[in-house]
Amino acid sequence: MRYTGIHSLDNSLPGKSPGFVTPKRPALTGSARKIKDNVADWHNLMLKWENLNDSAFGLASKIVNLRVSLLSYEKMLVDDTSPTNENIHQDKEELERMCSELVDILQSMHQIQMKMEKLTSTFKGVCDLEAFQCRGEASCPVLFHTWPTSLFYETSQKMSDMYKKEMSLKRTIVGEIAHTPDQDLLMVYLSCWLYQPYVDNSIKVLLESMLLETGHRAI
Amino acid sequence: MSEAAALASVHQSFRQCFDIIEKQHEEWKLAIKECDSILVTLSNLAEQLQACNKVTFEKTPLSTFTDLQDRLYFKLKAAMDLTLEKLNDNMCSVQKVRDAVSHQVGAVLYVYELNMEKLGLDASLKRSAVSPSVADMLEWLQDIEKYYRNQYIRRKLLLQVNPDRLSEIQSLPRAWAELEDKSTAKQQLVEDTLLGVALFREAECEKDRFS
Repeated sequence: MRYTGIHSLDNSLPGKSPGFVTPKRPALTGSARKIKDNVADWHNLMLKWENLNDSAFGLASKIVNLRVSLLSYEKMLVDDTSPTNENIHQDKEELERMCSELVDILQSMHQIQMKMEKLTSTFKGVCDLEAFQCRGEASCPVLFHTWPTSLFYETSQKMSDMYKKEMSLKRTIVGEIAHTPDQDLLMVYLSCWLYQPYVDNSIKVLLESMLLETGHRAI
Repeated sequence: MSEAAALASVHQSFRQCFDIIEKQHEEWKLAIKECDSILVTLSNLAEQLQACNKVTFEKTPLSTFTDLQDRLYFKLKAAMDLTLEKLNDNMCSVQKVRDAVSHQVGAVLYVYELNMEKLGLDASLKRSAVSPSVADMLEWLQDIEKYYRNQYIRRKLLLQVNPDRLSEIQSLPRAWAELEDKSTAKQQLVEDTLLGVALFREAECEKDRFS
């Protein structure tokens, strides 16, 4: 799935009809336009991440369940050598299929995370441009309500760092989830996946602040 | 006021009370059911927390993530707090049912006491094909009130576990369901009583319509 970067919030109302335009405010241009679009992209990327995370969690828990039942089956085989390995073969194929599906989702999540980093570097670019334009002046103009442009970059940096760390945790989990016999560890993998320990709860506040500042959310 | 008028006003308050009990009992069942699923979530979280405590992260592939255990613990605890809050809200609904029923039964007793002398013993004990006797209905109401009171206190006590005793939390859904099992016979009490007074309530309704 390719994200084409529609610069509006996914859950916003459908656009107005072309005959009805209120020229109340001049359309944003330049840095302000770029920042506002970037913030909307952040919002949409996070939504996509959550969706992928949910479906991946469903897969991961199925994998764990299958692993646990395979393990207990193997134990049974050791105790009692009854060779009914037809089922077990099927289960192993199923496990393989689900693992590769999980790897695919992980790949999509990685792409989203890369896009987040790209957004951050765009913010950096806007900051640099502004610094260049206002060199020699005491202060740079505030583009929206109160935030200096650098704050957008810092916030975005903070957020994409969280996702970067979370991404590497998920990569580790995907690599290990089908190979550990320890049930407690399997449980830890699953709860790590679901609760995303490296994505702080504060991220919602950060995102909402950006949306509010750029006027995506009404004050 | 004549004996007939006294009986009519007592019957009237019975009817009101049964109407309210019927409504409250639905709320009760709903709230208890909601608690069932919340407790399953809670026990699940307790299991995850236990696993998080048990695993030595340094000896696993997760060892490169030094602060992971603390972070995961924090997230799970936060989720648990949220679930406990939800549980508490539901127990408040359960308590509200108990209070509403107690209040209503108290009101019926009050009306009965006001009319007791005019009514006389014979009239209190008289029953007909349609209407149970006043004495019977008073007894049933008190049983119902006692049922809600006991159930509420038992459930409330069960839920007073320390949030750090994870294995106890993990076994909560079973203990909660057992409370239900033991009281199945009693659970029917409210429904059976309502069934027993169905004709009486209908007749009272008719009277209202024609008066």
